[in-house]
Amino acid sequence: MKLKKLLAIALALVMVLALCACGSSSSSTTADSSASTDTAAADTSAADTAADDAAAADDTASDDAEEVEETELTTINAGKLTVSMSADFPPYENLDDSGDIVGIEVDIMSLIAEQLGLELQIDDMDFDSALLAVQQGKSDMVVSGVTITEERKLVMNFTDSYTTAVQVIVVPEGSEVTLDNLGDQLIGTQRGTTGFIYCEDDYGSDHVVGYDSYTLVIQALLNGQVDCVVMDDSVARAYVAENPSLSILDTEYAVEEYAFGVDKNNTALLDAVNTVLNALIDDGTVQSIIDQYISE
Amino acid sequence: MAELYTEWKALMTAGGELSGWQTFFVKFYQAFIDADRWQLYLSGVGTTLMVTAMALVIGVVLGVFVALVRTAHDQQRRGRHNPVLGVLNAICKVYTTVIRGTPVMVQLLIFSFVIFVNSRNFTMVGAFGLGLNSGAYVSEIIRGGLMSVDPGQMEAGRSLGMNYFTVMRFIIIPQAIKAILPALGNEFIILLKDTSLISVIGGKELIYAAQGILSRTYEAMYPLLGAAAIYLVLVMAFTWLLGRLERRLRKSDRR
Repeated sequence: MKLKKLLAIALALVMVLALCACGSSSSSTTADSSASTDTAAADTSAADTAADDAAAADDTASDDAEEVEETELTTINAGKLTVSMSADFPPYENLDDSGDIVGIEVDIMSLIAEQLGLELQIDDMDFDSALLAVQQGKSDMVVSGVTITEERKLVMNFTDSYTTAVQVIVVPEGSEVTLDNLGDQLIGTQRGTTGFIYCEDDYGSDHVVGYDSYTLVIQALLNGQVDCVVMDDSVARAYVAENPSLSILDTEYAVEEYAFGVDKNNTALLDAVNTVLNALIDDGTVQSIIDQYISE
Repeated sequence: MAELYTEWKALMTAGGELSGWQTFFVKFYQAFIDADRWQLYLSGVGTTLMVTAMALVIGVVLGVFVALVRTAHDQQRRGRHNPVLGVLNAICKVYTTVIRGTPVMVQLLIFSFVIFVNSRNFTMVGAFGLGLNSGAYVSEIIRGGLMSVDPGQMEAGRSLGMNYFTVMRFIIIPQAIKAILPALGNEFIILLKDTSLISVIGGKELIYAAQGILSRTYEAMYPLLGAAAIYLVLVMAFTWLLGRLERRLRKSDRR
């Protein structure tokens, strides 16, 4: 009796699992085909190579949705470009009022994904987790205003830089903080950012507090729990615009270059992204996206 | 050691092949020894222990007080209600309900960013928040212990002419302590591990140190495993001490 019951349960499990498998594969193929038809529709790119890519994707889409996987690009989830980011970095990426992730990098990435014939999938997480995800093969790329540093180059590949950014010091109104007396202050940063690492190197960890997100850092600054915050220029401007009691010092703390981090084992993806990215930079698309979000 | 590390690290950077244990050595050295990083873990452990101790004291004091008020209120004779005790009991009930009904993480964030907005001592704010949290749980544990002692014992004591506090001190509490020790030890262990949450509000304890190192070396495994091992050792030491205490209290059980 017992054996029969066990067998029945095991068989039921097998059936359920089999059904699950059916469900997911069919849904992913439909996603693939819709992604490639999108690409076909948006075939108006100026870049030759990108247009070729899109045309190729178009062909496969008309043949059979299954064949999309046969393009040279292998990604972690077939047919999808999985991107990890920390969406608290306006205007590069942040959540809008309806909870969708929007921003400069999101726009650029969706263009890139479109031209590569892949569906863009964004995973939102802490910044340091986002960096780790790409080295551990949980995502194809990290897109989160990542600055190119020597240490990071060891664990991921970087695309060509698409913009430069400046690390600035945000202070409350009437503060006496300057670049010269920064060493005497309590500096708020987001843990894992270059601002955090530079400040700890320059002033020691007793003068630096690392929080999980920029929102918390800014809240701590507004409360007066830290004297100043070191963060990226454009992000700082977005936060200062929301909080009139804050201001940005004119002196820059550091100048850096932003790029996208790509899975170190996936050089094919790096090359493909670089090709598309450079085309987008050359025809001015990237600049127009940046101008759209950052108006001087 | 240091020369080997620099040599192999350079090799690794250049993309050279390293054997398994060489990779292990480089990553281990990088996570724990390079740039005196072990000091960061050590000061992190110090903060963790200090926060635990402070939260423990706050929690036990609060817990004992709340438990005494609530048992005293509940064990009153019918028709003879003390109004002061009634008010105190209501306050204690609200406290336990609110604290037990909200996540520790949220409480810590509220303490740091809403209530103690002027404090820069993030570690102390964290310890206070954890203590307040722990107090609610400890009070329920102690209340259970006090209630588990037969009411006849209190009546017997009182009828022999002892006052309420004497009976509590010499008859009820010694018996209750033995009953609640395992549950209390459990609560202390949870408290020790919950200190890792104060890294969210900028408290520089063990996990803060480990995450700081992680974000510099871009190597997650060794700092996190190291931190986990340290917590494990701390909890095991604590469990051992608690076991000894229980054995001592059990000495008089059978003679």
